[in-house]
Amino acid sequence: MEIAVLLGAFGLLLLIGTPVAVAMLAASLLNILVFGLPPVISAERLSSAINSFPLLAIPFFILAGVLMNRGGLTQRLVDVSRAFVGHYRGGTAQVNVLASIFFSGVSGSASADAAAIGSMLIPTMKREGYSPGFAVGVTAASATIGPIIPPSIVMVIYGSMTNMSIGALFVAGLVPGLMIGIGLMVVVSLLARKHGYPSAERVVWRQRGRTMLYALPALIAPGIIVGGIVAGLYTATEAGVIACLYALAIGLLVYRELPLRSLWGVLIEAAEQTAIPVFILACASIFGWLLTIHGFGRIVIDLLNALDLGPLGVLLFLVVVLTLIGLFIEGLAALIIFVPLIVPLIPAFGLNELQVAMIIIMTILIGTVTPPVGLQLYIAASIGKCPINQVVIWPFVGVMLAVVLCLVFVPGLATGLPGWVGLG
Amino acid sequence: MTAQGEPPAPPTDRDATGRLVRLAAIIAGAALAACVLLTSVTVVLRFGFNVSLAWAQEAGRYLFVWSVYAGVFLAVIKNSHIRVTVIADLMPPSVRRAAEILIKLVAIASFLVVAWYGALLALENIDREFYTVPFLTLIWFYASVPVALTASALYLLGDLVGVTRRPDSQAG
Repeated sequence: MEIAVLLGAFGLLLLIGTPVAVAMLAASLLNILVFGLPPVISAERLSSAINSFPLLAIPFFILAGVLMNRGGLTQRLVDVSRAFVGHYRGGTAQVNVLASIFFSGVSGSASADAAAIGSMLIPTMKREGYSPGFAVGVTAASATIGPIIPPSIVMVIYGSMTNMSIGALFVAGLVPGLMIGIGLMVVVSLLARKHGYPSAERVVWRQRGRTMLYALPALIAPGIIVGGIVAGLYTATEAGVIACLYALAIGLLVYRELPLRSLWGVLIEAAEQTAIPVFILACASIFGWLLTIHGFGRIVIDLLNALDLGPLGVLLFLVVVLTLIGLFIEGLAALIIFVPLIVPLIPAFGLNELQVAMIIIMTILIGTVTPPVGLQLYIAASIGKCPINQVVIWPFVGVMLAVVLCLVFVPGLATGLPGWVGLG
Repeated sequence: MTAQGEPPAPPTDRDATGRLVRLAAIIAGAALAACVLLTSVTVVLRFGFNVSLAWAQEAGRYLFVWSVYAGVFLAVIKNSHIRVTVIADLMPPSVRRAAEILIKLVAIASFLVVAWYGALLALENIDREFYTVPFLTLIWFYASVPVALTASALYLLGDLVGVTRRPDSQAG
């Protein structure tokens, strides 16, 4: 009954267009007041849920992304991508994917990726004759690489919720992130051939070398940020601040595209971009707490026991359920609500926590590009001025699902690299 | 309240909304800047001098919370909190207007309830000092939620009765 009231009120509020955070907060308060729980918990959780040092990595990586965009680092990454893959059929779409891979090595946010790469490349793609739906679809799908290849805000949140090593999660994302990138490039190539999308002229090696040299400060940034975490030199939060200082120094002193007077605007933009997801996180923590105390986790375990699925079956069940949930619930909220319910399944069914983490994170990210509730899809579609129902997204969703299924059957794809560097 | 379909008026320094946007942006931006600075200093001190500053970590966390709640208020003013408009877009205009009013009422009620209990919580901590920072008490930390949510509720209330004007919203 309690769970039905909670989920029912949340669903109803979401349907009429209530902001996700407010819908969760209001449904939780209703539940607290109706079932006689202490209401002060709502206020306590809104402040204490985000009073965490690891979570500081969120504004830092968002700020690093904004500094990269304003400081010219993102433009250099696009230039390098263009020099290397622009001459393939559907070249600018390939550039979109490759630039997202590079960008994801510094930024940890899919939204930042969709907004940055999208605003640079969607208008170009439309001018070159790509259908707006295709341009938006490629941008939204490739943006999901941002939080899979380290660093990753989603992984920071996952790690802080489950007390897992954020460094191990970061390293675990590298191989699956690259697999998605390569898969997207293959699908782009097939679709570009089918639709006759254009290609640019091949760039000679001398020119490629020059472009790489200009972009070198941007290209080595991921090594500094992720390398330090892997080597155990600094935590994810410290890496976030190092990413900011690095992007700031390069933008100010090397590329000189970031005037000092623009820094205030950069800070406010980053603060605004941080507040929206973190408020969802705070509200979802009340919502998730209520689901837990009302015994929803027990219901899930009992259901899975009754279905007698075995470890592999449980993983496949998770993929199906989270994909369906991702269709209707915003990604970050889904993560915060459902992870506390899923984590007890890991020992109960003898699963590997890194493998499960990557499966959950990637499946939830699929939900961020699928209609009707896909944040990256909305961001890219609003840049491309394209109606959601015209976006070509399903072939790319197919690639992402295929990589998730590879992870289900080959856990080593997620656990191998962290184990190898001594973090797994 | 801004009429349906009418482009919202941009804020100016002189109107109340414009001043509120500036104030919230200053708090959000300054708190984030201070947070970045403090964490940078701790990283430099740790690497350079093997010194760790516990108070800087604690203060950094509290500044983050303030930056977030100032940003939450800013996003309320700009109507940029993430929401799903697929179903709402299909509603006839009159139903959609009714839904918008209902959403505002729900938000106002929720914000005020949390702000009330948040204020009580903050007052309970009026004498409890920061764990590592002397002379400051935890009311400064717990005040962020009631302050931001009261301001948000009052803004929405004003919006509902047509007192305030809304700046450009960027997301639906």
